[in-house]
Amino acid sequence: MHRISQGGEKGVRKTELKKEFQNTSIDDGIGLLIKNGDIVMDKKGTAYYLWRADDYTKYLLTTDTKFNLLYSRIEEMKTHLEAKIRNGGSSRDTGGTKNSSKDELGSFEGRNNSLDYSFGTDQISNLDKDRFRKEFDLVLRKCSGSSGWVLLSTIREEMERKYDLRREDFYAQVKEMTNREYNTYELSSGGIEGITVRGLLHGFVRCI
Amino acid sequence: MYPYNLALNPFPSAPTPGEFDTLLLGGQRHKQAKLAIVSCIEDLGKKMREDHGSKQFRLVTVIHDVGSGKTHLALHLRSCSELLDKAIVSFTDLAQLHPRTTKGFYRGMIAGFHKHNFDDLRYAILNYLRQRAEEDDDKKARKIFRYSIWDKMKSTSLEKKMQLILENKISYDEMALNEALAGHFTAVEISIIQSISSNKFLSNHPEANSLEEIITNVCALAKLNLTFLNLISVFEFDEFDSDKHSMDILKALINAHLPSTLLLIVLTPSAYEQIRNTNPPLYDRLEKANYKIDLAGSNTLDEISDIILEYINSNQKDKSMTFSERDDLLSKIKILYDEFPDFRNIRSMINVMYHAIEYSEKSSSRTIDEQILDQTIATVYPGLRLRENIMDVPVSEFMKIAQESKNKEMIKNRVGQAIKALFDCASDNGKVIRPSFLQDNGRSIDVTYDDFGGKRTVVEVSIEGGNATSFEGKPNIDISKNGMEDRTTFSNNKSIENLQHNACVKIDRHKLVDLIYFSNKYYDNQIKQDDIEKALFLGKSIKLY
Repeated sequence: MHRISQGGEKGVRKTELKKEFQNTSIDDGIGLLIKNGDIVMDKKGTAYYLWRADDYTKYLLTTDTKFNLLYSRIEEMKTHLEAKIRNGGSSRDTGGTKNSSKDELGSFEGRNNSLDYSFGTDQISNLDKDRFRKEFDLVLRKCSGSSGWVLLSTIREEMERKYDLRREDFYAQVKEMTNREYNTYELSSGGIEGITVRGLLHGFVRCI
Repeated sequence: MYPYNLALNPFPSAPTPGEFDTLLLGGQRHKQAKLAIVSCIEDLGKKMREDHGSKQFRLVTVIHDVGSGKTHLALHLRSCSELLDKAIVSFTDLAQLHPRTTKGFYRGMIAGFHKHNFDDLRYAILNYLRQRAEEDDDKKARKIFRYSIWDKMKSTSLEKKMQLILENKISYDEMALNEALAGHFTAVEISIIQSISSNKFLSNHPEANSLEEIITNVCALAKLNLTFLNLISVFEFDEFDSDKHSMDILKALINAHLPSTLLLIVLTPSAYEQIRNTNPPLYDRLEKANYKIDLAGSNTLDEISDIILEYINSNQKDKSMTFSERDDLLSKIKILYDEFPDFRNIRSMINVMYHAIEYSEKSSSRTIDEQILDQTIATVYPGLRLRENIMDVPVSEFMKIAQESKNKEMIKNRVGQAIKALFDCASDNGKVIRPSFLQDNGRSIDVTYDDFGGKRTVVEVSIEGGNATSFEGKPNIDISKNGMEDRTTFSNNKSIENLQHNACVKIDRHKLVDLIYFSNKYYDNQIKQDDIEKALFLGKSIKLY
């Protein structure tokens, strides 16, 4: 499992694993891990590769456009539903559950008909760290071009469309997150807004 | 004597890399980037050979933050052995070009070559002419060397004459050279050959006052490099930005598809974004670059550690570092990296290493120890402090405690002693009323602390004498994520009910250092009023009272 997780997004070739563990029969172990849902096996080219389940998701997000779109859509729906549940509790209490659910469904269908990926305007003032990171990663992935660098202001604007997020809160979270996850995110100087590192304004971010 | 058996200080001390500093290239990511460029050049060479006479051109971009090693990489390519027989590299630092006129830009490109590149080209041209004179008995070619019947009688060879020209002892016949090359080369190429043969190219090369002239001249030079040296021409532009003139010239150079040439553009994400906003056509061309060199992760701990080890290993005399020396140095680098965001950058870390090596040499230390790093940071970065700590912990003490925390038993006892010391201090200074505390919370405190190995441990500390009992936690249990820690995960012979009665404090690794640092001072009777105030604040921050 440790060896497979080392493969990260790229995964590990099954034949490589067999070579590394020549003296052990690894097929049963692999079978069990697949059964438990800990790892995934899939073909890449003509070879079989193994991924940790999370890494496989990341792999698909970068290689499979359909999956990426679907994933984004599900995340969006999830966020929307959560927000509705938080904000719309009172309407349900007054017997409007059925109708409001229908409305929500209708609005989702409407949105799904369009391929335009846009956030709703859910009013969530405080995002917890995990949630912020998920949303941040989602926008980062969506906005990054061939060089991988994205303006922090672009991410902020995208996230502001969905959340009631103040600029200073956004940058406080970014600062905390990039400082904590310094092996995941890279910052670059420049831009018109951002966070200050070593006395320089850093307005660009990318995933390593 | 320098530490680690070094003959000299291997680390450069300059805000930007110089020619000499870049002979070495460390770090896996930087090496991979170099390999990608070398492979691009090889690919270009292969295509040239396969399709003789075709105009092969490549565009490569390196986009990354300041201080990530882009310039170092570009300069390293000028002298790296892998490219010696493949390419001739010109490096132009656009930051040094002002104003960025057409003429200035072209001059910068020519001045970006090493002088020995033109010496090689000069030799190759004259040798080609000599061979023509000898093999075909080409009279025009012989005339270039002013080879007369008198030379023949004296048995002076053409090679000797060529040697004398190369040594600038005699001149060649310029008119004859023009005549000999006419029909084989264009007028511009002949003009460049004249400048190079007369050894005046760097000071007196054909001028380029317009974009067309730049393109014509660069094409001619690239063709000569390929014809006479069989080398691909590489033009590197460092610090490329959104200066209008530079963008126009680059766009023209890309459109011209310079033959047997690779353009390597080095720029920051910020400059790239500005180009996107101000010159979409150029941005589009850069987006379509054949290779985009990725230096992602160039400032990660692994990369920085690799680079530092590369500098040290390449400069050791006959004895390399021992494993323990290596591990010790890497653990110190990790602490600097983790605790000081300012050092999460190759350039800054190299600067620290440069000074630390100098201080080690002055104090005749065989390694870089904690005191030396302390001294280095205090001198070179006087304003820098351990930000997360409440006590004024010197870097050396931080490193020592971090090192000691690897010894589980030792740190466990010290945490127990430290909590008692802090409780006593709080009690002595009226922050805690001992009897009421004991009545409310019992005689013990449950202390949960994180060590530097990513492990969490729970220790029950008796504040009324007796030894500390510990229950080791599962590694990496994240209280902030999971809420209250699940006590049932700890196997011990003490009942859970008793534990639940105790007061609980939770200590992250910074507070752990604070606590032990305070405790050391407390038991050594070195506590001052200022320390007491900070210690009381520390007690409050860990919710001891």
